[in-house]
Amino acid sequence: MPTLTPAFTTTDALKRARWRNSAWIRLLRHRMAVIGFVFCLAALLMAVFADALATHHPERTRIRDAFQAPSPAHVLGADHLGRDIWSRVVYGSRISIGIGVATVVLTGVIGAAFGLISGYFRQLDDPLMRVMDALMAFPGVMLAVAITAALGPSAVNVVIALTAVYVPRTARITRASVLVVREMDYVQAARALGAGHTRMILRHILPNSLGPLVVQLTFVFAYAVLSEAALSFLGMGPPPPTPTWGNIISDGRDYLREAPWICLYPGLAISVTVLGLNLLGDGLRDVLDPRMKVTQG
Amino acid sequence: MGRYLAGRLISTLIVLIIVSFISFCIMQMVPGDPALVMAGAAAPVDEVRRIREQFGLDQPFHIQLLRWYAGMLQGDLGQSITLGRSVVTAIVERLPSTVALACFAFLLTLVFGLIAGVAAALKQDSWIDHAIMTLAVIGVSVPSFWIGLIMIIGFAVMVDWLPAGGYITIAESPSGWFKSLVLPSIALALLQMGLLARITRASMIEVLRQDFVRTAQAKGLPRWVVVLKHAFMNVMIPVITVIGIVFSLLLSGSVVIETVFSIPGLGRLMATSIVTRDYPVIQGALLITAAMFVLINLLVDVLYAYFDPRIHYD
Amino acid sequence: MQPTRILAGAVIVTSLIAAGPAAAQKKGGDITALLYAGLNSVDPHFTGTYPARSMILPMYESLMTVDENGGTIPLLAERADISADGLTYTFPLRKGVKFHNGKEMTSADVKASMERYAKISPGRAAMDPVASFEAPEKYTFVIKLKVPSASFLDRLASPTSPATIIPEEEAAKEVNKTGNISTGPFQFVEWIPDSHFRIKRFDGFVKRDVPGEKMTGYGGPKTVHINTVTFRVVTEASARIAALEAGQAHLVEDVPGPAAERLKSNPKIKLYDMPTFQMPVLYLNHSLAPTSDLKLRQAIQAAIDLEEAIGAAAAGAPYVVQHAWVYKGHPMYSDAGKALYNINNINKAKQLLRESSYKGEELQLNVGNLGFMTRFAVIVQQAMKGAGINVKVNTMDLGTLFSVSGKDEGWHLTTSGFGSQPFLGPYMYQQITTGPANLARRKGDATMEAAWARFDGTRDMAIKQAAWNDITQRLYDEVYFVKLGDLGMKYAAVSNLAGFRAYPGSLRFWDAWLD
Repeated sequence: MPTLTPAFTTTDALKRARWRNSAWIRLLRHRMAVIGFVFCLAALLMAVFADALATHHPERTRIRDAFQAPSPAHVLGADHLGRDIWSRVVYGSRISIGIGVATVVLTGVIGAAFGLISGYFRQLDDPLMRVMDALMAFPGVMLAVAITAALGPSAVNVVIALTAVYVPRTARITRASVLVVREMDYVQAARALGAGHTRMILRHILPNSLGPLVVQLTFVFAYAVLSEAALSFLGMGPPPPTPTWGNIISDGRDYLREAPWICLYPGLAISVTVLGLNLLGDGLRDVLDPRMKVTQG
Repeated sequence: MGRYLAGRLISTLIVLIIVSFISFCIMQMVPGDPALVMAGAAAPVDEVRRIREQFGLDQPFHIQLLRWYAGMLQGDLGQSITLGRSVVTAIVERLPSTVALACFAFLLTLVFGLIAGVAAALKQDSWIDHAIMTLAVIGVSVPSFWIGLIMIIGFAVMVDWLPAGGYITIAESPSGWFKSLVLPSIALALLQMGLLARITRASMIEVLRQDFVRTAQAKGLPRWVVVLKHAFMNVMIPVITVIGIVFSLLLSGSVVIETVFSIPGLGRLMATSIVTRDYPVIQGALLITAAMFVLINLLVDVLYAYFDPRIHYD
Repeated sequence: MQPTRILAGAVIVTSLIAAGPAAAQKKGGDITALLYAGLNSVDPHFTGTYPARSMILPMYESLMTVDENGGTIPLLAERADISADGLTYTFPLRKGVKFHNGKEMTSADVKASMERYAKISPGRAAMDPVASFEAPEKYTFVIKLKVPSASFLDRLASPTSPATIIPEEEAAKEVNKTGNISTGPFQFVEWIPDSHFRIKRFDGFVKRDVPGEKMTGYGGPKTVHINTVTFRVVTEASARIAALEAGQAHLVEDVPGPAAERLKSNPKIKLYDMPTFQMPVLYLNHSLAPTSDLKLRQAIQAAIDLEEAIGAAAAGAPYVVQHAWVYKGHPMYSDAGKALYNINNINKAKQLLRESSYKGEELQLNVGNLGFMTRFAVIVQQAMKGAGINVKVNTMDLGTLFSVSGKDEGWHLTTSGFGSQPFLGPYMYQQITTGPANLARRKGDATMEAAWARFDGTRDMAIKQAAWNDITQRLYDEVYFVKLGDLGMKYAAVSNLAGFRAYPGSLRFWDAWLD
């Protein structure tokens, strides 16, 4: 009888320990994902219920109140024109979240479409992917900034610019899943049974490629919020007096030392929202495909 | 290998052609008359007609496109509207500071990102791992320009070690040059460090799980040898793949960071050009950065080919 | 000669060094000054902006210039002799004045410089009345006019686009190809665009040697004690202040109010107050509907709370809420126009709006990307919205802003600041109202033109005053511009910078030293 038993026992013990560990990770990750979800929800609720949450009209100026430090009258202080920072941050969430949602929807639809077509129709794959590669060659912020400079600063144009930046990345992810799903048995079976292209794509391939797409879109949301802030900071976002987190920081940068609250709170708002999205994305990735390599942030 | 390279070269060329086309389209996207908009930014004497002629804006689309490609091949990307020099000159003048900034930031990213990622992977699930990953995800979530502003106040004023902005050329003072790049490099690298740490950790964990690593460990080799020899080299592959993305993110970040820290580089050139609607510079800067990215990726692929034996047999 | 204008209070520096000129001036030292904007060209005849003047005027001099209060004084000329018919201006030149390259300045150089100026300078319209420039003798320069012009000499002296004198050989060169050679107390070292601009003391400088003359404006005897001045452009105000506090710079301009408050208690730093630096204004487009409708313009004029607006523009800087187009203390200051200033009555505005032909069209408010402009634009937009007027704010850089405002379309309101006009005096307003600059895009105004003709055609102060009152009243009646108030500026410098005096024209580094 071969004396392999001790070795197997050790391996078993190792395996069990690993399992406990990975379940533990799952739980922790899960907890992080929950935290992330909470942050995201908070931002979303802030955007939706802005009218109820704000204490002042975000555009109301009052020079007498200029540079007031946080106090009962102005919870987070006032800016250089006496406008309430809390109210501006609250309404600013509408722009940031709104632009984020619009970008995600457009990017998702267009990116997935390109990815599906590219992955499914061999002949179109190469040319489409070359175009995607070309778009991805431009540093994101630079391309977004150039497009908004050409079209003019406005919320709509920011969405267009950001969509142009993130569609290629999304298309690639979708295409990768399509390439895998396409070879699967049930898909082959459906084709053998004579299913047409549209039916194939929409009923069989798309639903099974959704996982990575959803994860990617969560990260796109995060990048979109960060990019919109940068664009607003540079003056390429929605024009004044609309408050956006980026332009509140931009307004406050002359008074950083003396009135730090102007820059501090919108920056925190951005960080918390994006953090929430990233954590949520991480959690989703674990759930939808724990083995998937981290190929994007 | 040779066939692989040839294939990559052809793809690169095609991508470059498309890249220049997209850059060209920027000016075409301007609603209304771009000549009017640009004449607004010209020197006091307004010259809408002159600008229209200079850029051939009254010509049909395909003629303009041909002029653009022809100019590009001759190394001529047009004249800046506001800077009184050619676009190429304007960009080349500003490259040194951006390159210096990007290199510093890249070094920081590599060093801290890799070390953090590897450490986190090796000590998976320990408090070190969680701490590092928490820092990494925060680094990826915080807007770089905001951190930059905070750093100016913290380090330049409170502590007085480092300059609050501005750029000193290396010719003027090497120590001044170095000091003026410390804060902006850190602000710029934060996002990339976090990203690299996360990616490295994931790749490392993936590799550590694999059979050959466990075999090596079972054979009794000390852990560090295993890590160094087997795991690390395999981790470098996805990491190298990410280099292109890191480079792209560094350039993206430079637009805001150079603005915040008053560094006269390519990023700030972009930021000021969009305000002055200097479209030739915008287009030129886009083209050059994208071209650099494509070429770096080509280089990366060649390196990749050396690391991954599978390619050799294609 | 022109009467000196005393603008008491216009340029009084509230923190002069107590030590006074008797203290020992130390030679040496290198100064770093941080500006909020840079320049794109160092051509001596192509400058027009405030930061450009700070960097360029230390190197260049002109025939005539302005004194501490904006009055006209001779600089390179010994004096200006005007013929009885007002058509010939003779300038005996100072002898032995050296250019930076060692060459002596003669009338040939002056003639060549003036001709180049009349060709390419942004301010060349001032030379329109000129029939010819002549250099009959080595040290005599003559300008012959086509028609007499009472304010010609003032325009010649204006530092906004200065008529600087360069060597004949340099004047032959194209725009931006000259070598930065002139007669000023500083000479050019280097300009690295986007990095720094450096000048150093010109040891061969020949200063004005008229007994009794003191440092005043850009004229008078100028003595340079420091070795070099390096200008850097730092657009972030926080970074400028931080650099000053950290000892990386000696002088910083445009200090925001809250920062100034904080710096007051810092013994290493001294603050300089310029109570009047410019008048923030809005131009209205008289050529484009709906602002071509007087009632709408009057509605706008009535809607704005000007105190709120200038308070916003100031952000802590000193300001005065007053209606006149000259500063208080100017001999021509009067009550004309006061009744229509700061009406601040929303109901009146709404009523005027109803009487107008306004149908809800969107007005384009073009705003420059300077802090004070973006700040007051918010107040203006809000006020107009409150009255029921639809306004869209377009922010753009200054070059674009001014070029667009020079056309009849593309804007209804433009933000700006009048710096040289109130400083140099009423004559400066002619160019921008009925002259070529025509900021309000007004196509003819007989009343205004007649008033200017009266103002320009005489040296009698009483007639001039009456004409100026009419002009001021007309500006208000027709709502050419909406004036917010008088705005000052603060500088901050290291406390061991002695002798420095703030000046609305630009920064001056002669007669200053580091203790």
